[in-house]
Amino acid sequence: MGAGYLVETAENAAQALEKMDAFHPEIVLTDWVMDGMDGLELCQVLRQRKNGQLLYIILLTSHDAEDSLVKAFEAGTDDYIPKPVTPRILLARVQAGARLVRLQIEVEQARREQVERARMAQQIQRAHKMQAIGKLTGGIAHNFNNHLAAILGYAELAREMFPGVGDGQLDEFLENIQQAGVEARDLVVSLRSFSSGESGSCKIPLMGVMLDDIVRMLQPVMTASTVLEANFGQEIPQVLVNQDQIYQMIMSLCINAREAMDGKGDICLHLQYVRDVRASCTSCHEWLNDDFVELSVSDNGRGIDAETLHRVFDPFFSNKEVGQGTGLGLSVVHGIMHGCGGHILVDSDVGKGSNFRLLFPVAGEEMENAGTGPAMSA
Amino acid sequence: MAKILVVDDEAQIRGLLVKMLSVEQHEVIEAENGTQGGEKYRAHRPDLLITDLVMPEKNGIDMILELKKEFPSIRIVAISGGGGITGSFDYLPIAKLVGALHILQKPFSLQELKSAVAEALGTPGAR
Ligand SMILES: [Mg+2]
Repeated sequence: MGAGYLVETAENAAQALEKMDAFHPEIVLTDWVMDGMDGLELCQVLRQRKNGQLLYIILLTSHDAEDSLVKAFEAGTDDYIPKPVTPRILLARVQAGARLVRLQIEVEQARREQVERARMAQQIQRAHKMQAIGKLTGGIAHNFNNHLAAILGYAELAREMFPGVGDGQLDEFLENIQQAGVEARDLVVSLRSFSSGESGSCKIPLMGVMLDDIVRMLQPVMTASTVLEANFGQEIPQVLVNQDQIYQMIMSLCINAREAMDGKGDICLHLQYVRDVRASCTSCHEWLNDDFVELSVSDNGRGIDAETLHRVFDPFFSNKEVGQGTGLGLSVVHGIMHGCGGHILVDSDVGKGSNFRLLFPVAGEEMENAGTGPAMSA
Repeated sequence: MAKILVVDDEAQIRGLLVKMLSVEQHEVIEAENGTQGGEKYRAHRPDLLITDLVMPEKNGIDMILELKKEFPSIRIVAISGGGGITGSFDYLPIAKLVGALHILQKPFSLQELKSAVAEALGTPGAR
């Protein structure tokens, strides 16, 4: 046509139907009167077949009486061009059709995005809800365990200190108290394991939600100001991690950071999706060339010199240096990160500070179902 | 027959520990938060510190971190109901991380406490 359209032709309706599946046209131009199936029938068949799909049908016709045209529109045509057809009018009507098709595509895309946004919002809401439940049960469990410690402890102490009182009746009463106490304790354990979804690794769609929680919890432990800078601007892919392990690593890194700053300075937690990382893992030295979800803990403390940096992940290093504030639990961090297929990068400048970058592999689709823990699916 | 400092914000728990430890002939000192705990540790130099973690004023982790700096070979047994009141996270592993020899989840039995205390006291430690 010379107007930038991709065109396929067919000699009759049957051939047109055959070509439909391979060509997927958005606009169909068809004559009304043809041998075999006519244009109106073709229209009807296409409307049935292409139900819900985009297809703009223009009928070429010399039947331009009112009744005929009404019949054509009822059969499913979108527009008609009266014969004789001139190139200018043909192009103008095709362009009008293309405009409508484009609009329809945009509407469809917006609808799909809307659905996706709603799904994300729901997922965030569910994560928040699970977190709130976890927090609530955590708080209840904490208080219950304190009360139970007193109940069970005093009962046990009484039995030990005053055996055989009242012909052994006191023993029996105390035993009942203890039994009920133990049952209550087990209930707390199961309540908590339900709420925290003890499932080993589970897919974390929004580590940011979790980080918020960790930072809140870190505050009383930190005298230095702690700043959370989770990057929510871009979508962060899911990673397969164990929540407790993340917590333990961040805690170790933050305690180290705090010691490195002598309690004064900023600790920054940053979460981002980093593409095309090319570097050598600081702890296992493997050469990396991949995309990762990066969780970093940085400080503006005294920093680590290159010589020491070499040894911080050594399992014996922390033992030697306990109380010195460096290397606390870093062998654990090394173990956890490599256990989940991740790596660690450390940037450090003496006198300026350190940045510990935990690199998590992005969870693939196939890991998605396998890794969904009760915390996320409930 | 050791000198033991017990730090917990719950009077009932402190009372229980005092009783349990006195039965074992230990000398027990009490404190009800991290600030008081630190002061009493410096004043009395006990052989062992048994401390709760979630407490007002100053929490147990903070107190441990401070004391560990001053007394590197301090002997500590940490006790906690787990999952702080502010969240579902557990402070006990952190106590271990910052230097507690033993951690006990509340509620614990008399026997668990006795063996944790005995083991901690058996661990070499200078004052
Ligand atoms: Mg408490």
